[in-house]
Amino acid sequence: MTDRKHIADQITAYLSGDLGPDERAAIENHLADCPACRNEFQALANVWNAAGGLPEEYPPERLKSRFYAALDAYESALRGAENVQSSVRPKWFGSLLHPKPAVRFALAGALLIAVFAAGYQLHAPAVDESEIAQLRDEVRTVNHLLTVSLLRQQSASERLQGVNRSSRMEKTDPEITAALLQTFQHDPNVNVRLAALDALAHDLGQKEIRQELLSALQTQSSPMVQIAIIDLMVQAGEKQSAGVMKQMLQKGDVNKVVRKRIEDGLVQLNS
Amino acid sequence: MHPNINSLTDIQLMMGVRDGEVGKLAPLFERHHVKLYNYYVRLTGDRQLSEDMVQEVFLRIMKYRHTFRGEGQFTTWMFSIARNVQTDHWRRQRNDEPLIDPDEDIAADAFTGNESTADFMYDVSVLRDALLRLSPEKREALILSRYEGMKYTEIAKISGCSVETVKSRVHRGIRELRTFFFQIAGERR
Repeated sequence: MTDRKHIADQITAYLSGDLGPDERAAIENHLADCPACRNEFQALANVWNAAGGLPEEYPPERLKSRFYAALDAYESALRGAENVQSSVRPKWFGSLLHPKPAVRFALAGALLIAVFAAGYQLHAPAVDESEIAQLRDEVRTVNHLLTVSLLRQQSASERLQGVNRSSRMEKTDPEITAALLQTFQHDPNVNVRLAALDALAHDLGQKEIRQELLSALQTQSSPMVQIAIIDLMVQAGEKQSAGVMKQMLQKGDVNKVVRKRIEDGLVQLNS
Repeated sequence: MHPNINSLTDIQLMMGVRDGEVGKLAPLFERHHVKLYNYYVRLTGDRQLSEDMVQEVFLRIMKYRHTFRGEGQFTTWMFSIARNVQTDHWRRQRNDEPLIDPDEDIAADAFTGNESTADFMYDVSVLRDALLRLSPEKREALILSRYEGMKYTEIAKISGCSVETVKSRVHRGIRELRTFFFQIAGERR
């Protein structure tokens, strides 16, 4: 029949409630007279109903914790940012809104040396192994300098680049680790501190790093950073952290989300 | 915090957030984060990613709160941000999943069966798989229509396309879903 396609196209709109009363009535009249469309309608209605059987899932509790930690950090930043001079309060949204330029010269320098080294390896007919090793060392040194230099920049986005570069380096370099620790402890931007913490997590096997992170747990002002440290300590099964966490619970000024995370963490550490 | 904060509408809360009362984002989060999480789980099939995306949506709401004008529904605005978060993610990942798919049609009548005995359609894992086999554009339109109960006009605003396109995507989506039900049931036999 000529208008069958038209009706078939309308079936889903009928099922989803996207038709007005007149259109619905027209569809119903048509269905009463047209067995083919009735079959099509029944088939699609079955699928529509079956699709509705997909149950709603509930996200893990940590999604809430992360949200409230971010909200707390943001509210603190709004309240206190102007009054604090050498602040450790997060201004991360400000930096997100006003991203600053990268260290172009340093990056260009590193790129030039990397390209040179790659080209050298590709085109030199018989390069001595030691020369390649020397070039690699030079690239590594430039990477190292660039990373440390980026970590000291004024712009948060550049410091973030520094942290990201450090994570890509082949092996742990004491100077980079020290610069990362310095960044983690004192960077005014909470996003940079969190990124530095992620980078340091790779070296959690080192006792000194665990100690530094643990002492930072009490001094860090951002609940987001505190929660990240707690999570790391709990994942690593660091029993020593339990004492510090208990001390924090005894203080009255701990953020409620952090408090909850500590309580959960202590249960996990003791299990 | 306002004593009757929970009696405020989404729009009133978001207007407050826009004007600096960022604490009013908390009830908006409570009202919508589960819905948003399910939207992403159905769209991506990846729970961890969905969690990260929900967090990102609320961060962006804070970041772009000044752009909220209070026109239309808050959820339309929120899902537009959710769509951008997802698009940015795939762009960063350079994932194979296309941002704008060619809306290629699956031969919807290639598989036929007797629906009255098709119990597998009510199997949650079959349903999830079938949904993920739809093209991203049809999946998005179908999820917003079927699970979020949105009108085609709202979906069109979120997806940046015409109402006719949404209508067509939902329709073809549901027909293809039927095909995939039978396809998956056949594969599992």
